Amino acid sequence: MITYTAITTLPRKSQAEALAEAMERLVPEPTGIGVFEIEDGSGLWEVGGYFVDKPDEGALALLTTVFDAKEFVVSEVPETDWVAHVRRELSPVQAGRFFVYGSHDADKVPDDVVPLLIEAAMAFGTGHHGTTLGCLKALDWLIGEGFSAQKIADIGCGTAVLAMAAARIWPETVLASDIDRVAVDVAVANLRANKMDGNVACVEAAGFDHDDLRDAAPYDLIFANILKGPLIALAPDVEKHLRTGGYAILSGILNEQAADVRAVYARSGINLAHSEVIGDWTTLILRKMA
Amino acid sequence: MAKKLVGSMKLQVPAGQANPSPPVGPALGQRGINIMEFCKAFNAKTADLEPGAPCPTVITYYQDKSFTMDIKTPPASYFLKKAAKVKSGATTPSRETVGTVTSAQIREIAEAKMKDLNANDIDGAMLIIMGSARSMGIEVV
Repeated sequence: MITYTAITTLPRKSQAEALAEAMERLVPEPTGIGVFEIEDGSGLWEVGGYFVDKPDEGALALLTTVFDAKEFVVSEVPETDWVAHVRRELSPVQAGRFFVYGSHDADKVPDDVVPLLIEAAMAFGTGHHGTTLGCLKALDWLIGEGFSAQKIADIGCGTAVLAMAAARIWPETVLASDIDRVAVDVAVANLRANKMDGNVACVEAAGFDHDDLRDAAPYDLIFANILKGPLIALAPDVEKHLRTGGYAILSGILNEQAADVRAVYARSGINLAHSEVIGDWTTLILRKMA
Repeated sequence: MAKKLVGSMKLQVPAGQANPSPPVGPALGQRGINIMEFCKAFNAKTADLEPGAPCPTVITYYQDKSFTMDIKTPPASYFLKKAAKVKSGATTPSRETVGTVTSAQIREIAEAKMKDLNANDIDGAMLIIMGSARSMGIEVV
């Protein structure tokens, strides 16, 4: 079945959103409308409509005038096996000894890796982003340094990929938390899929704000892949709950923000041991000194 | 985890019947979003709705291809056409009446749509639905 797309670009997000709203009233009506940031540094936004019937090009031309957008490009979308297309894009990710894959790639898991089955779904942490990849590489580096952990916390766990990676190496119970209920549900499903629900416990909490997390402290290793602001706010709790000699792996930090985060943690005696830079993102491996 | 939003899209998806055909397949597929995981989650979340009811769904996705979805109630026009037992609204609603609905039906629709309407109470919601009915040539009796 042939369907149609009509795509244009605009310089501002607010303009793009207003145009998308206006497109909802087109006849024939679109079955879907998307607003996307174009990730080429141009700052442009793309607005695309999906149509079962060929869109009215006159009406589209009118919209381009009203919203000062570029002329719509109307194309036919040929029938495609979109599931196969997506599966090709969602390829496995290898970070040191860790191999993160979706169930569609279960037959591609090499023998000499630590496998982690994660579907790209409704929680962050598929391994395809520089922050998650950086954390896995940081963990791989720590293991290579001969570090061993018994108590581990993963704050802002998303899919729980980091908690599971650590639990694959050190099979003591890892505590994971996320502020988002959906992420906790996804994490629990991932733990079951990886047969790790006995090794990782996941709770809904903001930071360490849960009795289970506080009671299990101090930790040998704390992961926090969140963002600069929450990481800085979390510094006093990390200092409080990390044992002396323990490590914190922090990510979600843009390269230009890394110095600020380092400085805040250094004031608590938690200093840089190593870092991983992947694209725009820095992962810090910090150690709490005596 | 560190979420970097890339974009969002609004699709009309039939309750309990999401599948890789248009618009879900091309819209998500062209962005590399896991179609089967979306369909599985959407169908589970809409299992209690009338099968096939069109649900406007806002999908927000992030740099690592993870996504969130916000499923809205079906449009008022869908409920009104069903209540009035008509296939479409009037082309000239000011001069043409294609069907009728009762106040009780308007209240039922307002209750079903309440969470997505910009109304303080059920009376305000009913006024919005009555406005939609008028704009479709459906008379409230």
